[in-house]
Amino acid sequence: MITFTLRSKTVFMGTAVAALLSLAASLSTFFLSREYLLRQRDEVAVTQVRAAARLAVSTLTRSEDPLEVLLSGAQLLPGARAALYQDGSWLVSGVGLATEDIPSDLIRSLESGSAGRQRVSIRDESAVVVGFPIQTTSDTWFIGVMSLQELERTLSVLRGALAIGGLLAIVGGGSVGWWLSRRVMEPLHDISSTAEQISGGDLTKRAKEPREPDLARIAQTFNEMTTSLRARIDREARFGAVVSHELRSPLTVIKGAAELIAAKRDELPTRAQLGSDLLGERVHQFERILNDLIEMSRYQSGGVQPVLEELSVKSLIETLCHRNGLDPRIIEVEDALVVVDVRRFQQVFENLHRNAELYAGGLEAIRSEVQGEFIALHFDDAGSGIPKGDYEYIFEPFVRGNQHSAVPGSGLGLSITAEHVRIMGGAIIVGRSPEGGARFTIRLRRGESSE
Amino acid sequence: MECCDTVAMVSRVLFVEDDSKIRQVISASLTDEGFDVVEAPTGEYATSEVDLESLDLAIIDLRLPGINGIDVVRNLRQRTTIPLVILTAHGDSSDVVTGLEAGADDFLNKPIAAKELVARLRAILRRTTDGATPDPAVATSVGSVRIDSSRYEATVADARLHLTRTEFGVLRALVHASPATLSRQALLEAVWGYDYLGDSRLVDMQIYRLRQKLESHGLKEKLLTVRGVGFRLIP
Repeated sequence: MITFTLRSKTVFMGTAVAALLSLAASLSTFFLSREYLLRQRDEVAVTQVRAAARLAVSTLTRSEDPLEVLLSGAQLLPGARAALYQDGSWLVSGVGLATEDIPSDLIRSLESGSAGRQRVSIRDESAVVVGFPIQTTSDTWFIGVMSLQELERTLSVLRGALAIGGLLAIVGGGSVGWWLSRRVMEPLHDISSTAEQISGGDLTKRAKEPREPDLARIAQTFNEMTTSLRARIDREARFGAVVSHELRSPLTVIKGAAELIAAKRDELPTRAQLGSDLLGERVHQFERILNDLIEMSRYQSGGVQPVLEELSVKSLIETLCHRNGLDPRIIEVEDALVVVDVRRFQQVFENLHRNAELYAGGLEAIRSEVQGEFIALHFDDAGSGIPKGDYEYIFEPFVRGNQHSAVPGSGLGLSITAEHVRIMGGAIIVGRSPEGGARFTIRLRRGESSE
Repeated sequence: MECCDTVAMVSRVLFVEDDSKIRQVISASLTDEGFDVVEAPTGEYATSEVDLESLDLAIIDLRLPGINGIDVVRNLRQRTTIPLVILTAHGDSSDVVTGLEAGADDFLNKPIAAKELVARLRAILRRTTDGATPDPAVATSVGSVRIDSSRYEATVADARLHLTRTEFGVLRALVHASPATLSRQALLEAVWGYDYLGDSRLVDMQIYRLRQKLESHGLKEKLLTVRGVGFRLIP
């Protein structure tokens, strides 16, 4: 279904209202003017024909010749046509007038002895026909036919002018609608684009306050909301940062103490050795969770700046595989330059490796695929794959599969991985490997020198 | 053991840290690994009471009461050429850049593990104290720049170039490689002992400093940045 924007609706409404108003105004102007002008013309015609008829009457008293009578009257009607009816016969002066053109209603009125006036159309030409009975003798009428062509032309010009005026009014109405909607919508657009930036993580953005007090209020309220949201997030981030920072000092001591004990492990009794091993293992785990929390709280508080450089993706993967004790035969990566933050890439690699180790029997292959300006790195594990329904949630913080609750971890590993990849200008998705295991694909920008 | 083969003498390390328990436990680990640790509980103590001449390296926690860690780094850098390693809350924090700008050569994230710390210190010490027996096959001068690895000294047209140990290490690697270009990773490996994956900001900061010192001796555009590749010293 087509949905119209508020803006197009406003423009449409403005145009429609302008069209209706201008149509009503044009029609009424036209018809009123036409009526007025016709009435004026009628009156002029009646006056002129009456004068002509009087002259004809005075001629009739002097002359028996009907032609002379007709012409004496007609001379007062320049450009018009005239007719004289006397004793059952018609006499016509002027071109293009036949006795049939005289309307029968007018003739009936003249027969009854009263003057008459009627508008007619004679061969597509409108005219007003005025007849007067000449009183001195019966059944003698003088008729004047005044053309309305001039008036029709005037009315046609008026019609054209009104149509142009109407069109201008419609365009004007549409423009006003567009301008008004722009005026109203611009601040709203600004607020909505600011909201998008804010939802993208930039809490420093604020909507511009428009001059109109009503709209300014919306922007103010929005900005106040953003400020309080930011304050709240900052507070939470500060809390996270303070807590994790405060935990770091005792952890350093515990870790150091555990290492001191572990260094003398061989001199310890068996039970103390077990204690030392457990302590070392759990301290390591605690440290990893704490580091994850610190990393996440940094992303949540925003403003993380990556240290990007161009490196050979093949050497990078080879080095990391070597460091993590992975078989180099799993590497099926082509040689290309990739834009990475080394520390973050290392963490991404280690997170994916550890995940594969913990949940899916380890990594089976690391493959690459050049995709235009990007290079995709596929980390394929030896497990049975991840259910499709989990694809959407797997990168969210604290999401862990039910069956994995016994495996130690913060539940932040994959979301930190996703944040790392994102800050390096890339993206991560999960899917299925050709062998049926899970496939984590990270897409990173290729180095400029490799193009 | 690796320590005793490569670091023949006992290395003396200054450890500036306000938390007494951390100081105690890290010192114990370092001592066990054969280091001689000088503990400093405050920045004031580190800058006024410690004899810098006897030190091989200093580790400075950036969060200190009183004189803060950055000022301690700045103070020590003016008075000594030994490697300075800072302890930061997070590798990402602005502390790292500020610390490197103040004169630090490397950084470590907290919580530090004794094992990692020892490995790190050994790598730094190995690279900054192994110059006693220069290899006659490699170049010792590029144009007017001459290096003397046995004394960690560099000269420009016989005028002494005052370099820290790390800066000297960078210059030496560049002189040895010249006229070839050295990548950031190669420099990290040669000078910091990182096996390939290190922080490129470390290199950039040292290159910046080295370039300034060369320029002050009239050598403009001597140390070139080759975009996307690395750095090159031109004859």
